Amino acid sequence: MAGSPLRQLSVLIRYLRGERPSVLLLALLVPLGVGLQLVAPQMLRRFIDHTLTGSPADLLLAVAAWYLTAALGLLVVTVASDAVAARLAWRGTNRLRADLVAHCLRRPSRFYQRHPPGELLDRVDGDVTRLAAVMSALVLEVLAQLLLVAGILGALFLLDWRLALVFAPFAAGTLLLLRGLVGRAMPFVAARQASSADLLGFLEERLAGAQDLRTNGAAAHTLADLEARQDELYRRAHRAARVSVRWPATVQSLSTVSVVLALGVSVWLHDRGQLSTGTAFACLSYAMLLRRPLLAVTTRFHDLEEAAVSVRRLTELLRTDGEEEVDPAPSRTGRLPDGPLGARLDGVFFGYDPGEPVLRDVSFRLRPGERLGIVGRTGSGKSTVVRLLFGLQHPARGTVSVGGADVAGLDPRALRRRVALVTQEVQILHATLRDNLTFYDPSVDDGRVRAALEEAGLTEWCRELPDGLDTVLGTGARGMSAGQEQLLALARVFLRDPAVVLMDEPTARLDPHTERLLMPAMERLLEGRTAVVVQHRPHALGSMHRVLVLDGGTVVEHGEQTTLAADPTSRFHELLRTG
Amino acid sequence: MTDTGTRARGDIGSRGTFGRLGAVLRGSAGAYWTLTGLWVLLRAGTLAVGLLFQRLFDEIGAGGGVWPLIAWVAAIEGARMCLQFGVMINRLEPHVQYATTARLRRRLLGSALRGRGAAARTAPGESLRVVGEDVDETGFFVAWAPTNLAHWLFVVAAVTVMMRIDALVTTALLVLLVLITLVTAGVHGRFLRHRRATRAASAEVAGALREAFGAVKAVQAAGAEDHVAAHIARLNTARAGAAVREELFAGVQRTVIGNAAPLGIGVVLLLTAGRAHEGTFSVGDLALFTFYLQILAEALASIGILSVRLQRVSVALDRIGAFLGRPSGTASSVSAEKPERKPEPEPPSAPATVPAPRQDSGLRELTVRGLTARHPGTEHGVEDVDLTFVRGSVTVVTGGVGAGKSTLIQAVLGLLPHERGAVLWNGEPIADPASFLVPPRCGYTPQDPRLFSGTLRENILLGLPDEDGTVLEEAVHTAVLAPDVAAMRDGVDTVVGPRGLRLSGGQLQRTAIARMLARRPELLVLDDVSSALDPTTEHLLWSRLLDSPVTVLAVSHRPALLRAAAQVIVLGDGRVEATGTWDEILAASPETRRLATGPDHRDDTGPA
Repeated sequence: MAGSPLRQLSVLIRYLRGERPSVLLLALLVPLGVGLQLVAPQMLRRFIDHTLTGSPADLLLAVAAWYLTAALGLLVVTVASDAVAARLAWRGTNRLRADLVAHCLRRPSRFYQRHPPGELLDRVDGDVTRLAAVMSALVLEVLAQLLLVAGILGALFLLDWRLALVFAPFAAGTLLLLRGLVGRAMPFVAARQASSADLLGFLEERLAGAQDLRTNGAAAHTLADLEARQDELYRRAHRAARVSVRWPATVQSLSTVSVVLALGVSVWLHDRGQLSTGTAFACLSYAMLLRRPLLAVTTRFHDLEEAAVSVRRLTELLRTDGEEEVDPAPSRTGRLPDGPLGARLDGVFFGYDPGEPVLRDVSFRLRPGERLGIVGRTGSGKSTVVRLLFGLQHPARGTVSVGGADVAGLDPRALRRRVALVTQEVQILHATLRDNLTFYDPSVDDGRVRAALEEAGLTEWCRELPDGLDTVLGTGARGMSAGQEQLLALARVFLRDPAVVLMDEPTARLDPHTERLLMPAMERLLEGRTAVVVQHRPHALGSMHRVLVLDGGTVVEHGEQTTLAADPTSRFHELLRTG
Repeated sequence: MTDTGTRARGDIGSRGTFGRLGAVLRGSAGAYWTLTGLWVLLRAGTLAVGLLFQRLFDEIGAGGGVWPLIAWVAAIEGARMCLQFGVMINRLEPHVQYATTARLRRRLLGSALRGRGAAARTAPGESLRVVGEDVDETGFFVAWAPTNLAHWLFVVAAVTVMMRIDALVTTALLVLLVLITLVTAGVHGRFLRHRRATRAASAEVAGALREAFGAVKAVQAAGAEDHVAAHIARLNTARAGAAVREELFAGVQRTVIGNAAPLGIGVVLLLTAGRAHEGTFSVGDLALFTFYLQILAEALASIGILSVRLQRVSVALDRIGAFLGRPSGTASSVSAEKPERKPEPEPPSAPATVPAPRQDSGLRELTVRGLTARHPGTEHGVEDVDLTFVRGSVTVVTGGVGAGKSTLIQAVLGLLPHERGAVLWNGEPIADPASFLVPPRCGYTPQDPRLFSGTLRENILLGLPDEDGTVLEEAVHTAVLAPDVAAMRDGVDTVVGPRGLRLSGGQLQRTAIARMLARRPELLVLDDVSSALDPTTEHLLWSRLLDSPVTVLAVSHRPALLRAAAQVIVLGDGRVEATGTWDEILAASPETRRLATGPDHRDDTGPA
């Protein structure tokens, strides 16, 4: 039973640590509720037998009053255990959510290429919320009801051992079938959920790119594509429903058999004078009571199976470790010294795919405060150099070091405290201006935020915002020009005050005028810092100390910027001329 | 309840949850009513089982005649199993549910594809929630709803039977059930309040997660993983609080209704205890009451859930209706559509008296007259722009940041609503540019193009027929994408990843250009597409683009292109500052030249 839903769900138990009081309270409330349900048919038996034997009305009234009290008690106990279980489930799943978020945020970009944001959202929130519902169900409906089933068998034994003898095989049969059928539907449910997540990812992308689709006249095609995906989802859902139904159908049939069995056995025993009418009635009551937990367990079982699938997908998500370790491995605890840092590449080879080398034997050394410009054609490997220095990729051969420490041995977060990367792509959060700079770090005060905005040259712009630092930016809120977005990215870097600045074509998306507006802030950022700046337009490298020309992943030229620019035979000079 | 009833053909935009549900169900009505009929049949069987129990316990002492009763119980229950699990749950329910969600999603996506950036104006988490959660909620509801009519019929029949046995006890039970209903109704208001709070908190969590995953590069680059995670954890804690409160009130409602049966039996016992010896209330009657009370409680629970689910589905339908209604304004009443139907130009939103230009007339001249358009809700826009260009010409729009270059392009293409002015095709006004200026008349590559998960081929063709691959090959060649494709192991079948993230910025832009070219439009509109390209590639791209006899409207700053243009439009602060050839403009105003070009001029190498 490796694929048992319960086995899968047991992963969750560690998220319940620290919830001992709630767990203990439930351990008290749940058996109490079960006991109150078990005692009711016994009271009915006494009531009927007392009625038929002509006992005094006082006695009957007392039994009736007790019955009502037990019913009210059951009500209170149920509400209390529901609430405690819900609290337990939400607090437990929030721990799981925190784990997942922390894990996902540390994944490399490859991870995000495989999982679009819509899919991750469905995993981290959708799947986990489904789990929250199931976790309370797991405790209340499944465990409590299984306890109730056991209790019913015990009660029947107390009524008449022959009743228990008849019901025992039934209970055993149910258990056997339970073992046999459990998990059968899981692959089908998983297939349906995969199809559903795929559809959601499709919709997310198409909604975001609706305008592109429309202006390319691709609406009809997109709708046809949607149709195909929905048909697939329907097919899988239908198959999943057909398989999932076997389990509740079996249990319900068994439950019907148990009712008929109860009636038959009681009638037979009653006819032989060995069973009172009240006991026959109680026996039927228990048989009916048995139907309820089985029903509850079966309907819940469906959810449980879905939840188990969710858990499996979540554990898979958590297990994506190892293939590209951006996570700080225990060994990667290297620290960077304070103060200015140098940078160095030593005989670096690198390729994203085997057989397709991107960099071949690239070396250079930067002293603290020195600035290097890298030029070359699209695909010459310029950006890769920056990615290596930022620890986004690691070389196949050779070493990449910053401040004398091998980047591969550094905790990426320690590295990124001292090294900043500016690219053409600026991601603006749908959040306040402050949060966009601090990334929700509450320890950064507004003074520092304003200082960073000032350095980036955004003070004027900020002053015009309706709510100042509290103005919400991003999609659907306040729009920004590409230039302002890039300045905001610079402000983020100013706030962190790094020793090394890496720039990967930061102005590629900007028009020349905006680019010029950006220059003062970029110059301020480079001032006194070690820098590696990648540009496809060689003219923008005027303030660099040195220039490296890459072609096809190899260094074809490397020297002082001013020297190379003045030398008419140099590649750099040629690039300046043709650009 | 709130159904207007006056609209025979209700729509999701109509008032009243039932009207909208009717509209949602159109297309699955047959399956829906079959399901309802079968549920009624099942409940009739349950009613009969109760009556059998009654006779059984009355006759148990009398001897004989009991065994056929037990056989009947077995037969009815057996038939129920076959129907419920062989037909209803495994066939009809998925059919109703998934046919409904498919229809809704088709309409929602169709509306987003037609609308003027409805999705762009909706907050990121929001539109996905509508097509995801809200549609799922509705689909689930319509598959579940058929049980309700059966429950109501059962309640009426069961109460009638019980009344005929003992009016006093039955009346007392009805009072109890009414009391229970009142209690739960009282709790329901508070439940709803907490439910709304939970949904709002959920939306915040979803939004924050989506932002964090969407902007993960920025988060990682800033080393802010812990702070972002802590922020999300705070939102999660707030939601957990709201959800637990919601669950408490939901639990009270559920439990009070769920325990109606034991409470009812208690009442029956109390009321009959005094007159047990009179023989007016037999053991068989007690059996019947016990059995019916359990089913009544189940029915009551289901009916109670109905109000909760109805509330939820009503909220979901509100949002779905808003999503469908928003893009094309008040006039929109999206009629039921088939996917086969080609998205024809939508009914014009401009005055219907303006005739649409004849579609078969090729471009001779495009004129923009007095065009004023703004980004909704802002002052940012273009004002009073005039512009004319003829077939085969190259027109370049240039200007500084915030000059309104992209806005002008979007306004001409009808992607922004026009405040004033018109766009004329061969002298005839275009009523709805958004649906007219599409391939094969016009192709557009935005500044920030979107690609989709899938292969390069799928992204370029987007469903275009291309049996022999020539369309693709030609588009890839012209867009200077061929060397990149050749370097990829899978060529044009390379998977580009979500949103095309596996491609470099330059590859992404050239893929978008290839996508536009594959449709062979007469008029090419390009919004600063070459910015991520190196000079060599860019030069090649433009020489190929201008090689063919197409008409081009482009935003650019490249001196070479500006010089090649028949007409250059210099924009400043949303208005046309100068028009003419580049040489004319330079001669007239050196200042313009400074504004429009940048540091990539040979004699201007240093930063400003």
